[in-house]
Amino acid sequence: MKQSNVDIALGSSPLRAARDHLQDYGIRTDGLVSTSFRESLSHLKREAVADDNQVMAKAIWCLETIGHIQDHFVSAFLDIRNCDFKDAWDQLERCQVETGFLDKHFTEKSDEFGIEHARLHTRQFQDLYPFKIGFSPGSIVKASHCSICHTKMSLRGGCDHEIGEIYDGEYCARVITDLEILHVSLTDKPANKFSVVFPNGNDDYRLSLVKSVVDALHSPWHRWRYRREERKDHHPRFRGIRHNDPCPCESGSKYGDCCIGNDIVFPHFEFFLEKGSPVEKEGFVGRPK
Amino acid sequence: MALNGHGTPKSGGSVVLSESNLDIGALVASFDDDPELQKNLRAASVLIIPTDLGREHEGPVFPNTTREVYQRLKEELGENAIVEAAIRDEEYEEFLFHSADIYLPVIFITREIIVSGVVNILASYTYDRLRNRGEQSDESTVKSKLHCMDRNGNPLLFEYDGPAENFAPSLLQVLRELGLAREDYEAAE
Repeated sequence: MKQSNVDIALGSSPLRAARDHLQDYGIRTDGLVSTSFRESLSHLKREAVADDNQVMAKAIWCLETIGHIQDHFVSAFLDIRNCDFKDAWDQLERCQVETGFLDKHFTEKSDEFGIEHARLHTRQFQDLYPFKIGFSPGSIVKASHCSICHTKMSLRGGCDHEIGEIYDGEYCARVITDLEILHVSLTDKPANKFSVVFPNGNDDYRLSLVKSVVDALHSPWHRWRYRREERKDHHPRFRGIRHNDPCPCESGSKYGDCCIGNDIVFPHFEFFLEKGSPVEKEGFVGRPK
Repeated sequence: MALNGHGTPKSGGSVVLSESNLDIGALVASFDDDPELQKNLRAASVLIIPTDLGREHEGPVFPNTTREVYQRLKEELGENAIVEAAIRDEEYEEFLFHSADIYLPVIFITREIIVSGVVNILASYTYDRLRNRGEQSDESTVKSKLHCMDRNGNPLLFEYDGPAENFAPSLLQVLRELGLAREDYEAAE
């Protein structure tokens, strides 16, 4: 019962207003998708399901998910601006996860919903974050069921629902009901990025880099990119030391025969910001005061 | 058996090729009380076999990709192969190592002509899996073990542990060198 990629254009269908709202992602004054928008979509979805209109229900799911992605991305931006860095990190992870959910069902044209923008800039923010190690539990899954029909999953049996597909406007997932934890390990590639290691609380991470990017942007929808280089500098200890002087490391050798090449290597970031805000509108989210 | 030349994995994720010591006869015999399953296992041309987690877990267990891989192989291979797994449904359990790495089930292929086809199906599966998670293939590692026979009936074990994007190219390259790629059979026909 595999379904095809969905077309959410749907002409002058009831979804048009929702689509327009989501396409206005760059100019919504409060940044986030409105509550009335969500309620409207929920109502439309109930009707579509009642009519067994699976195409419509799936299109509505796509619109809901686009709204979630936009909200996660904007929320992450605002959280960074407010120095809530772990909350922002979690929002970025949700953004990435939901983009993955959506990819199978919807292909965006010309960044009309900001999905490609969110995908690219989420990765850039994640790259700049110093959170590199996460907890990773290893476990045995003893029982699970389908989120759509609740049929127990087994190797050969189970239902015909496909994980990742959309049925009645809902994403099909596997619900684990019996799990035995074997171990918890540390990894630089956790399956999800929520489980960040904080050895001594937040203070150990230097987050000024990611904060400075957000502070320089007028809006989360303002494009930017960065270039990372390694640069070298003389160690302060070696400044003013001449080639034939005794080496400061006290090896007994001349500086020129010992530590002269031991420069400090440090990362250097250059940021390139798109000029101007996408839309100069009063009260636009993230606009500097 | 001379199997040198593919020894140590490189950073790009190369293939380690060795002689397989998998005892399929003993594995099938362990299902003596289930003649139906035994019959199916003997007929299988692609057989998914349990992973040994050593002291961490007793009993047969499979990676969390197994159910999807099993279904994908059945769907894609169709009438060209019989796909089975050496486990009763009620005893089936999965291990879930919650990292971004993709652990594929250990697979024994009895017909060498379909080895490259299986590799391509596994590569397609890992690509889709990464895409659905919003990951990129250069970041995630694939771990895979494939057992099969060469043209002389010698048992081989291919082990891959490296970047997802290099999985199929690396394995297919080794298969070509061994004359086990699909085109080798097509040329022979």
